[in-house]
Amino acid sequence: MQRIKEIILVKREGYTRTAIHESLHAILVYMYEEGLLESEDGLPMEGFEDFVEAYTNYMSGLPENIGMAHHELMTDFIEEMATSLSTYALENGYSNSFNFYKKLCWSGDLINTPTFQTLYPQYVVPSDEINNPTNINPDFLDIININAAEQDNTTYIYPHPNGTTYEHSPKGNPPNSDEPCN
Amino acid sequence: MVFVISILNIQSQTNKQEAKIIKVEFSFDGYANQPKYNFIIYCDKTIIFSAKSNNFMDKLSKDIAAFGSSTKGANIRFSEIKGIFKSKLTRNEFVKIESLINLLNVEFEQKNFNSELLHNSTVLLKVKFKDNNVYKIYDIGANGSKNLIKLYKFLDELRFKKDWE
Repeated sequence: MQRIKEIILVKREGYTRTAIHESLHAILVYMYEEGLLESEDGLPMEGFEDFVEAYTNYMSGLPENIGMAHHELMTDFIEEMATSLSTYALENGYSNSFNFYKKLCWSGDLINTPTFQTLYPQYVVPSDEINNPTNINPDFLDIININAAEQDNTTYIYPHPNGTTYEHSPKGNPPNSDEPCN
Repeated sequence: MVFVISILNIQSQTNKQEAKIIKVEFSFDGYANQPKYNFIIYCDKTIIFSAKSNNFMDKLSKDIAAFGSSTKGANIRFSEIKGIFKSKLTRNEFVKIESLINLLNVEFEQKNFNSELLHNSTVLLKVKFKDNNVYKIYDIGANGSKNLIKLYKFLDELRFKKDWE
């Protein structure tokens, strides 16, 4: 686990959020294929058991959704991805909070992982999904709308039944000829 | 020996084509904010639609669908269908589904499909025929074959074509 964290922290220049996400996929594939996720006795290293099992099944031709195994494991590296992203951002003139970069790293299929859904359920009270559907968990809303605001380069406004109107505006610049990455 | 097995395979496939479908279960689990829904279709043309999440009338072009309003117009989430619904397929719709499923002989033999990609939607298809045979397809990537994609597209469009009750 420590070895992957070190690789992510070193590979920071020139990466935006998506590039970091995809790089981590590549690192995980590389480490599995090179046997770096196994200890000396051949067993999976602590923390990688489910991933190694899923990958072994996948390589054996069994019906395994390897993407889901990747994303579930990636939830362990949100802090490291955010560190890389914030370092890159700082070097390029952005100074947002570390928490903002952490939220930005919950992207793509990471929001469908059991870990995300446990940490940030869409509804704090499950019955609200039917009885009070606008009563979305503010923490969940924050992550989804922070990502959507950057993705769409648009400000989103959500009047919450708790009385607060949440506003999420893009903080990065859309890619252009001067700044090909935001 | 090979000849005998080939004849048995052909007979098995022919029987499957002629057999009538008595139940179809279809589950679509979309990547990121793509839709998540199930259909159950019975031979009396009853269709049950379980719209779990992200069933938007407009196609989501990117990964994440925001909540709330923006200056760029109506939010895609305003068109979301959510809940468990029931309807009746028309004869034409049922026959179409049956004909699309009857094209899946090769796919039913293969059973499992994998796009080999990491960012995937997933489909689970289960069909029970009148002869009590049950065939399952697990399609990681939801693009296993041209015939499967035709079926997925037809079912996907039913979500917003039917009058659900």
